[in-house]
Amino acid sequence: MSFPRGFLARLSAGVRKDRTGHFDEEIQQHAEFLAAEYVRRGMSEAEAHLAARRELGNVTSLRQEYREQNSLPLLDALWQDLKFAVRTLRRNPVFTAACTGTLGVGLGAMITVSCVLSTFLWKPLPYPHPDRLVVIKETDPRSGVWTFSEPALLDVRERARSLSEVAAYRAGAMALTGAGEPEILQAAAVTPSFFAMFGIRPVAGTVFGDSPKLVVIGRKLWEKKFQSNPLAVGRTIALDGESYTIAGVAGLPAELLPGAQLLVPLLPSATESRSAHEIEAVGRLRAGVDQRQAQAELNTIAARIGRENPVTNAGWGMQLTPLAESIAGPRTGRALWMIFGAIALFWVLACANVAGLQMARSISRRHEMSTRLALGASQGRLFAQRLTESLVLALLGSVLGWVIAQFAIDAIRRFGTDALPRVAQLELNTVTLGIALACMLVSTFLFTMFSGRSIELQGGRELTRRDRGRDAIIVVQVALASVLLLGAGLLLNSFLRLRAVDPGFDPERILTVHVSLPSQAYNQSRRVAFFQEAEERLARLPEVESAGATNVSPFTGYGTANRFRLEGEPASGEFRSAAWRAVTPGFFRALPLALVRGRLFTEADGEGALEVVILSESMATQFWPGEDPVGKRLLWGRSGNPKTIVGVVRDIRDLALDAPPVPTMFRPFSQLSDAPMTLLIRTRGEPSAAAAGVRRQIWSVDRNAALEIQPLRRVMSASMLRPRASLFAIGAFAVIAMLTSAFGLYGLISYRVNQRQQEIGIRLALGSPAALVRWSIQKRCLMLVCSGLAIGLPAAFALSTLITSLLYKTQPTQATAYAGVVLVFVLVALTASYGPARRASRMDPSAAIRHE
Amino acid sequence: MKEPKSEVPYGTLDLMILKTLEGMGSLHGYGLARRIEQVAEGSLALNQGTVYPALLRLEQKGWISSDWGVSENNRRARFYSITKSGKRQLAAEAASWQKTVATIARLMGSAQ
Repeated sequence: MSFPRGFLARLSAGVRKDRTGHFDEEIQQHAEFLAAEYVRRGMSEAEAHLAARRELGNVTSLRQEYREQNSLPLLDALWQDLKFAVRTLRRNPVFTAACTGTLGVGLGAMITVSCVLSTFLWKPLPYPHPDRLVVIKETDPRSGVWTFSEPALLDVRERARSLSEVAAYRAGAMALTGAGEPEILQAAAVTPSFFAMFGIRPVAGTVFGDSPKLVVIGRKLWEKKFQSNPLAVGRTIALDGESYTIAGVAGLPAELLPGAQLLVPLLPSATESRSAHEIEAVGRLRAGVDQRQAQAELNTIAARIGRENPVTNAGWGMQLTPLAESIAGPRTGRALWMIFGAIALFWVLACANVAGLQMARSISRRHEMSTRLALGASQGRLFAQRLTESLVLALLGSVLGWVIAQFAIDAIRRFGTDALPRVAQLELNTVTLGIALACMLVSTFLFTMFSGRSIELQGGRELTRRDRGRDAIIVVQVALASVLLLGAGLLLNSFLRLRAVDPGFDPERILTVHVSLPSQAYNQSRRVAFFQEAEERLARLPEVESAGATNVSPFTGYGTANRFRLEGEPASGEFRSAAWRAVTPGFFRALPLALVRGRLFTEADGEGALEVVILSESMATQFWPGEDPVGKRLLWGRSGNPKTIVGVVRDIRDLALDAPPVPTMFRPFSQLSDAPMTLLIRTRGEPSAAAAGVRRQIWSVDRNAALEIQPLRRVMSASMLRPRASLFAIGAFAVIAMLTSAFGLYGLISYRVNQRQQEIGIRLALGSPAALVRWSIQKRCLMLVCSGLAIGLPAAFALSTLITSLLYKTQPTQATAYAGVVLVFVLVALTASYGPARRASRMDPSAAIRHE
Repeated sequence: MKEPKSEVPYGTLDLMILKTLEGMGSLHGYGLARRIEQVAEGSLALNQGTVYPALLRLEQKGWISSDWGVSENNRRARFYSITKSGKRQLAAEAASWQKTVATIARLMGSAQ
């Protein structure tokens, strides 16, 4: 084949820049040969040289031909275009910065979200054969989906042929003592089969089998508590007051057990209650078995369990879900797709805006283009040059976007551990690279189309044609921005409502201390005595105002409820249920929770004294409407022991701010003291500053108490992480989108004014009032914005159901939000057109008419 | 009146160069141009300079090769000679040329 050889020769000469080679020397030689010949024929020396030159013709154009033959003209042109593009872009730094910035932010967001999305939805979990791992739940047609009971797990393990392995785990917190300061750690009890299923290999020691009282610790804990010392294996530590021997050290499956630092054995027992649904079951599908077959087998097994245990399991079924889906959660997937949609919209917006800028610039460059056309540049050549310019812009934007995405993903990995599962697996991969490249190509294409449309249509002649394309871009931008702004407005409204919720107490300056006491060392009365003592000693601290304790730490999302009956009601009737809290007398003072009637608890309400209860206001009005419940009695729990109502306090929201206050019964901790407790300490100053003193005081009562100390504010803001994150994300995009559309509007209107200079000049010269001229320009801008809103708002209305799940006490179709968006955009239109309109109305008519 | 010289038909210069080099062995540019003119006996308007881009083109395709040598007037000059693949190419092109010429000739004959 001669083509590649010729191509390579030309390429290498082109790259070497040795374009003319030995042409000049050869031509020179040639001329001398010719001249010598002419001299021989009788010419004079001078005549001969002239004749030789004549004979050789136009050496310059020959040299040009030779050069082109000796290089790749396409490559040459590309290089030239590149140089030209870079020069042009450098000469217009504002334009370049605007384009690069817009593109970079848009693409950065796009890459980040697609990275998160691809990790969650497509990236396999880092376990052996992750596609065959499934989560199994028990289901009750009446009450829904439950975790597993221990006997049911043993049944599945024994009977299921479609599962090659079955394992179970139960995550929870454990208090670690006997290794440095006592600490509460995330932990999990796991069956021995768990290790093989998740491919957990020990880095030191071994994993445990069927023997209890062994523990496998995670690498993080190993490094922190044992300085990665291999001799830690074999040592004994106390967990919840019981001693465990460290069997080994291993990396723990962070995706399944986020935050877990140690694993203890879970040995399911066939004699455990079938109503205690306390363990999570996971299984591995046998090779070649699909999910449907396994589900069918589980159905049969569940039916058999139901027949064998009609009291507890009649009608129960089982449900199998792929592990990846179970970890990501159906809501996470949807939320991510929503965010992806929003960001894709934004990226389109960014492209449209850059295309708009390109178009505006192409108008101002029309003289340059006309000149080049007139000088003989071909349309193709001009197109190639614009393509190169667009490519350089898109490339700059992409590089910036890539860098932004790197930072964003880093930040998510560092801060998003709690909000998202699997963040540790996040990384920029080939999928995201592909998306980035595709985005770059699409944007390059778009920019090229828009940067020269008017020129191509008009050739080298005069260009005054109105371009509806730019109108369309602006309208689309306004429409997209209005959708985002409306979403942000709704989220803001929801967020403010959430913030304004009165929890019934003052959450500022409260320090929460979750206390875990070694269980064998404490019986009921010792526990009561511990908290009494601790509260007293804490109250002595100068930085503490008052201290109390409750079994439910506010806003952790965890609560307790119990059944009760009203005294005098027939026992056969349906029971009622309400939330309950075990609290110390100090609890009401520390919050403070105001008394409505009756009295609060005192130290006298102890064991053996009259069993008492305090109601929340909503409980009182719901069950004793129009009556004073104080002095009446309710029948507590399944046993129906009567408790006397001694007081009513204000309502409290301690589960979640967006949940309404629930009817609550308060019981004295001293009469109900088996609950784990959290101390609530009202401090005089900044709560975290009191933490050290608080810790010392509590340890002065018992050095083995494991403590978890946090300001209540932090717990609350953690509970509002989701609404805040979505508000921040959508809000940021809305603001950027609005600014870019404002920028685009300004560009368009300025351009229009420049175009209409002559016309405006004539109007002014004929006596048109300046105000009228201004209005005619602003009206045009308003009309564009209104067209955008006419598309955007109905679209937002149609999409409103998507956002409902994120809103608190806010209707997605709220009229004020729509009105607000309209108002904002009218302001944007007036602001964006103000400058150009003013310039137009102050134009010197004579100069304007002479223009061009 | 002198008979008007005809232009070099497009693409035939390559063929002429190859044929000449095949017959003459090694030649420098000037010698090559002179030789072609001699053979054409003044009936061809060859712009002598155009042989150089053509030589470069043929060399890039690997049909000829070149080397520096010493010319008859004792000067450094670049000598060109045909390669094996150049000979093959010449054979192929010559055959197709003959065919074209024959076809044209038949057409002209029948038209008259």
